[in-house]
Amino acid sequence: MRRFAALIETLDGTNKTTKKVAALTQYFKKAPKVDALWAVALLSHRRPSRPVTTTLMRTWAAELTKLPEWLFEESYHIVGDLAETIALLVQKEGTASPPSLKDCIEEIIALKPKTEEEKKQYILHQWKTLSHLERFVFNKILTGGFRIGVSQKLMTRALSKAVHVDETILAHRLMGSGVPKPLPLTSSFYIPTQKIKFLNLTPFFLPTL
Amino acid sequence: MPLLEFTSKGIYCKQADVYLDPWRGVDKALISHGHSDHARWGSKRYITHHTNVPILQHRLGKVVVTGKKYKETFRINGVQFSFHPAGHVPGSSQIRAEYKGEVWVFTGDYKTQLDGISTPYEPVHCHTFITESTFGLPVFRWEDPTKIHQQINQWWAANQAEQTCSLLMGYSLGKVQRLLKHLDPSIGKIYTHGATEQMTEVLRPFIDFPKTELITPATSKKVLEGNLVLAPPAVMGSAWMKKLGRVSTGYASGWIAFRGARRRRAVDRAFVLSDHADWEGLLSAIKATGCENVITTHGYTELFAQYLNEHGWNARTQKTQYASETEEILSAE
Repeated sequence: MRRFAALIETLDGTNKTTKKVAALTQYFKKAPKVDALWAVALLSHRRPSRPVTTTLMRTWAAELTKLPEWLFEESYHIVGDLAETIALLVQKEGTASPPSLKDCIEEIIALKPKTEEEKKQYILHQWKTLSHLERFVFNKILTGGFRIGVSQKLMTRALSKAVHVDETILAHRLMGSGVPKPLPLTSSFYIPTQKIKFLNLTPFFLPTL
Repeated sequence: MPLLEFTSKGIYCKQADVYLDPWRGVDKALISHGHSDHARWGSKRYITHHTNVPILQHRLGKVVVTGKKYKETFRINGVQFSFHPAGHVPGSSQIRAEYKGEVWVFTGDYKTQLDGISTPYEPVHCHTFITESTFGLPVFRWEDPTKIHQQINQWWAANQAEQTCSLLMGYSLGKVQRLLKHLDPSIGKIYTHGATEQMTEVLRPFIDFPKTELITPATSKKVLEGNLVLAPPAVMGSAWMKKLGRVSTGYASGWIAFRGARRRRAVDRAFVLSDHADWEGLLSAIKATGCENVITTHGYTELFAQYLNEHGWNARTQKTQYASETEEILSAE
């Protein structure tokens, strides 16, 4: 989570494509593969389905920060982004380390069938123990996509550099629409090109290589 | 009648017949600090803190200005006035007015954080507190500035390793000097834009700053490689900036606390560093004055006043011509 949050910060902080690709490549090389897979999924707008409504998140955040609800709403209105508003308003308590990206997402997936109170306990705990940046990323996973100026093409280019698989082949492997669970995609892009068959993701029949 | 009232020319003390930070020319003006929305041209006589005297002379030209020390009291028609440190920029003062036992304090702009160049903010007991509320929303919480200065030096060192020039932008009075004060000159040389250099020169007699060198048409791109340039934000994207060669841009401001604002700025690095009090700073300052009445003058005035009203103060807002977006205005200078 820490590494992924730092990646998001870097991507968000630069307008230069080369720097974005370099940051992504670096992340794909260094991050544990299970985390990298989830990063690919999140950056290609595939995220776990939302376990709580934003209305509940707003109420809980106002309660946790002891702010009147009107002031919380006004702040949200001015900041313009719920994930960021909550990240700014809640203060970190203690010095606990964040969970890995994989664990965090799996916990969010497991949250869906739980009771409202259980969901609240979990989310409030995360808000209080994550750093500002991690809290922002956590909220983004909960509420929606990362619009940080990284296209699928850009991400594929970086991934291609990291795993040494041709960009076009990777692009094909990354097609498909389903919401990933519990792993976003197979780890197929780590397998050398010659050994892999195309995944059955497209409506077309494509021969194996 | 209130001791201080709000008129079309500015904050007015009828008993003493003086104005505080007026926005029109008046006979006698008490000035909180040198920013252009508080110290305006056209008054016959200015009274302000000593440090502001050369700043006013630099910005307003030949004006009649008297300097006072912090906490030095002076009487005008029975009203006792004094200037108290506001911690906003060098020379910035809160203005205290007392008449027949009633005390009013006008903050001008202030911050409770230490910046290493301004005399630290001191709370002043009063009945009525006229406060700025530029960042009067709970989403504004400043990080420890030492951390930010470290990040700036790390950014500079990383650019230096790539032989790229670091262009660090902040407004000319206060912010740039605060940045300069905390730069690590062992990384490289520090160059300045004309506006930055002039204001820094004005403040050098009061504060010990690292050495700077003014950029002139003769300065080549080659000598700037790996070094740092301090400039006002208005240079972003200008022809002047293009002459610097390959640059990494950095901007220091409180307004870029939000992601959206950072992205709109389109700079390579945004450093959240403000010379105004954040939410906690404003609240702690108000508490420390022991005041009953609060008048919010600029910034998120309405929301902040509403919150104060719900928490035991008698608060209201007052329209003034002080800019809540000082930095945007100054950047256009």
